[in-house]
Amino acid sequence: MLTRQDLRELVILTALGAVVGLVHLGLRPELPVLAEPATACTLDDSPEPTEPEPVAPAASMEPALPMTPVSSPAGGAP
Amino acid sequence: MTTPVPTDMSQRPALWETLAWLARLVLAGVFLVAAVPKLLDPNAFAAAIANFRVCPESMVNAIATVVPALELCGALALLTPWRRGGALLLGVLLIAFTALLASSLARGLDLDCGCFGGGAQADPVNALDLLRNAGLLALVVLVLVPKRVR
Repeated sequence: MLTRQDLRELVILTALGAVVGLVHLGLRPELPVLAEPATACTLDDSPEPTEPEPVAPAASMEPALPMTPVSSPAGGAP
Repeated sequence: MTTPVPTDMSQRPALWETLAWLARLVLAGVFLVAAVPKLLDPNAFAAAIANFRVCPESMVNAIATVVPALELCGALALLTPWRRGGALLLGVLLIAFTALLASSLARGLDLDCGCFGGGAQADPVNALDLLRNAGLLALVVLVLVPKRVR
């Protein structure tokens, strides 16, 4: 069914398409190097992570009242 | 003295030639319509290819530009004396596309086909895509069947 001439045409057309495609790729530098998988939805997709609790600034961690010395248990009453 | 050829026998090759010509025209039109949007917007097609998750990410851009060029070459060749080579090329592409679509359906992926480029007209993969490809493959076979078999 397929002749040698058919296969030769297939090879030439494939080579021509590959060259045209690679030249096109070279002319499009704006193409991202790695395409990002956009909206594939599967059951095994993990949910988006929740936002972490905001951390209080360091200044607010200081006590409002001045610290008083605390006696150690060893030095206390017998 | 020559015997007259029956009318139905004389018209049968012409009918097949007409069918093959129509098949070439439909195939060329479908693949031109499929190739041009991908060539104009390779970013969308690259994203569609990446969503299938069947090839390394480093190959996505090359595939996104080479495949539409192959479709274009095959479609144009169908309109030239290299019609059998063009039909073979489109047949190989169709088999690869069908295997890819069947694989994504089997994995339960719900994603855009990307068959005719991306954008707003993109449709999710479904069984009708497989049926359409089977019909296009039948047209490829019609182009490839030699005259003496018909």
